[in-house]
Amino acid sequence: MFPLIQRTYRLIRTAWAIKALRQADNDDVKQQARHALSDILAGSRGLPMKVGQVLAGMGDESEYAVLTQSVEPWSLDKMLPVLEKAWGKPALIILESMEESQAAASLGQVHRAKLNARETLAIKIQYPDIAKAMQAEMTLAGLMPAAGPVKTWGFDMQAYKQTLNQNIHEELDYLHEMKQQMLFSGSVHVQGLHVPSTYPLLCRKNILVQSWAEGVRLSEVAKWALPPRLFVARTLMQTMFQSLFQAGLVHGDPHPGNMLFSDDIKEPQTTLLDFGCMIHVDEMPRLALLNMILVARGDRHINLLSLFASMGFDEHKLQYIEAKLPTLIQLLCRPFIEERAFDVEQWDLSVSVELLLGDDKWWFRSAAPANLFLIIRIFQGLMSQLALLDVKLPWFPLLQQALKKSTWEQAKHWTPDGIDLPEPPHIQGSATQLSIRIKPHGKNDINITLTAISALDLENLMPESIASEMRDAGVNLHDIREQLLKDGLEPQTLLDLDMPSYHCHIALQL
Amino acid sequence: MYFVIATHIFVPNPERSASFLGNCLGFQTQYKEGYGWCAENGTVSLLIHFAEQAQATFEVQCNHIEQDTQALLKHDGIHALSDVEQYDHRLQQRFLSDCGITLILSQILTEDDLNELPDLPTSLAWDEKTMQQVQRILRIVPLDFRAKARQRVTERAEYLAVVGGDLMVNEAYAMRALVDITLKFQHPTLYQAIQDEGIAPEAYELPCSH
Repeated sequence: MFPLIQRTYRLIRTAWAIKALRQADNDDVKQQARHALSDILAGSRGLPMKVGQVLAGMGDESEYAVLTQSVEPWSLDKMLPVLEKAWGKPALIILESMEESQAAASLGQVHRAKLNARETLAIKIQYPDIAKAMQAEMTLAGLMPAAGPVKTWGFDMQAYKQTLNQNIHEELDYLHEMKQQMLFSGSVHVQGLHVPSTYPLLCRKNILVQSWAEGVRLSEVAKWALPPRLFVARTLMQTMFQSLFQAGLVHGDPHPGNMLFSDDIKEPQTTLLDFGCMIHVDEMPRLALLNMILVARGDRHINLLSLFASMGFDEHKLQYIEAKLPTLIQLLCRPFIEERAFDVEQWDLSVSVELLLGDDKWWFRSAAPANLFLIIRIFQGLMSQLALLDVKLPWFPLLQQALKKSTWEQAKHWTPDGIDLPEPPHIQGSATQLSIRIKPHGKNDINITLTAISALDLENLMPESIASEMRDAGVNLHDIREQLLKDGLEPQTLLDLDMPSYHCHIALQL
Repeated sequence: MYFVIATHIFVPNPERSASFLGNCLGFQTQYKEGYGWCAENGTVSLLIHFAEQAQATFEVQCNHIEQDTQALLKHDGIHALSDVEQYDHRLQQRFLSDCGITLILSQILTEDDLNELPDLPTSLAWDEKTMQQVQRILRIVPLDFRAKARQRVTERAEYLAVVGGDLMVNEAYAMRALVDITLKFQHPTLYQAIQDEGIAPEAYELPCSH
């Protein structure tokens, strides 16, 4: 809760700074950069996902809406020199013709062009100086501070910042995007899926050339008859399954704007666009994730702490909720367990997880690796697409068919690395809850309730800014832990402290 | 909170009404007090009061209206006001007792009574002919269990279709699903029902009933 509020404060500053910048400077490049930044914020990847969500929910939606509104594409006259500079020759030596762009993307815009009588191209040209402008905007937004690792409530903020930085860096490099697109096209083969072919000889760091794709948006597909809608849904599901569990290369931005659909005579076709942000999932977490489904279905038996550790979870934190893990994976994997068409609209995962974990959800969240949020987002994206299509399909058979036999064999013979955990402390005491109340001076206080055993992890739970003031005030959180281990978790006030920036009250309660 | 609702009714002659309700509908008089009679039949409690101009009406829901009409008419002091009347989803027969109580005997019509074939709760596309065959075959399932059977066979057939790489349920998936969800002792009946639809049951590993 606390870092979320910290981020909200930062975002208020960001929103105001961007607003001030827009009013002060009307330069087209900076406007594009602003739009790109907002697109990345709204693009829901890593830290930006959180930032976008917080911004959207903080009552400043009008400003957020302005940021995410589409901008007018630049004229061909303005963009042609960029293309010709990159190619080192006049465009019409290579092309038969080139059209004005119909829509601006976040970092560049796409022009339709004819290479010859048979081949129509989509040429994405990056806005000149957008890279420099993006860096300036990012600095302005305060999202890339030079500070070292910051751990708050156990969330690794630095990992999110690195993800953001990497995403922007990758999105600015169209040669990287071209390679990702080729890699994806070569490794994900699903019926009905189309990935436009690239033209490597015409691609540059700021130019991406690929075959032109025609089609309608997902909202149009939702009006189609049931059979083609089912077909499209199957393509979307199997694309996600195969790219996540087999290729380990997932489209990181699967929003409807990056998809086109056509209902060809033979079969409906789904075209994926924009491979600028791909999520790489290593073999270990990918096989662990697949095995979580098998364990949830009762097809395999694996120690769940080891399984979660293989997915990147902090097993030391998870051991406090180990008893709940079997039920938790049943909830998480429910679409893969039910042997019938699964209705995503009837699936309220957050409610059932809340009922199971209660305050323990903080343990689970803080134990989760940074990229888990990316994977959750991919699943959420898929589910909202299925909901929009208004179709229900059984998930597990589609997963089975999406993966090669060799992948299944590999998964079934995979075993997680053993983990060597110290016995969790068995500590007596009648307290059941740890209450933390932090009041930044002049601001509203923040209350959080955790399970009593969390008191033993105060050192890690406390945000660094507060922990440092505590140290200055002579408070040693390690000593508190040692005292609790000795005396037990009995109801008591552990800390009631007035510091320069905060008032902090921490207590164990019945 | 546990509670029982008692209904107050007003009739010209509480004593005769209590007696009528006892004879025809099995109510037992619990006690009589100054303000009226109390009768119950284990499900409903009635507090029967006197009111000269009043008339009470009861509706009794039954499963076999003709049979129960005959049974009611055997009692003294009751006669039918009309023939059995049919509405869209129910039958009803009105009776008048000599104690002033009007009795409506009603029967909710089932899908069998109405000769209806309810839709299957499908998620996938179905071959139209197959869907109708399944709807008809499901009539071998006793009415009380049929809605559940309808849901189970639909889910199973659709699951089998997707497992088979299809997004449309055809005859093979549907018949296989019927066999899967039907208890073994009912297989001979299912065999016959499938055969009546012009489909060879042997193709679905359904043993002959003979």
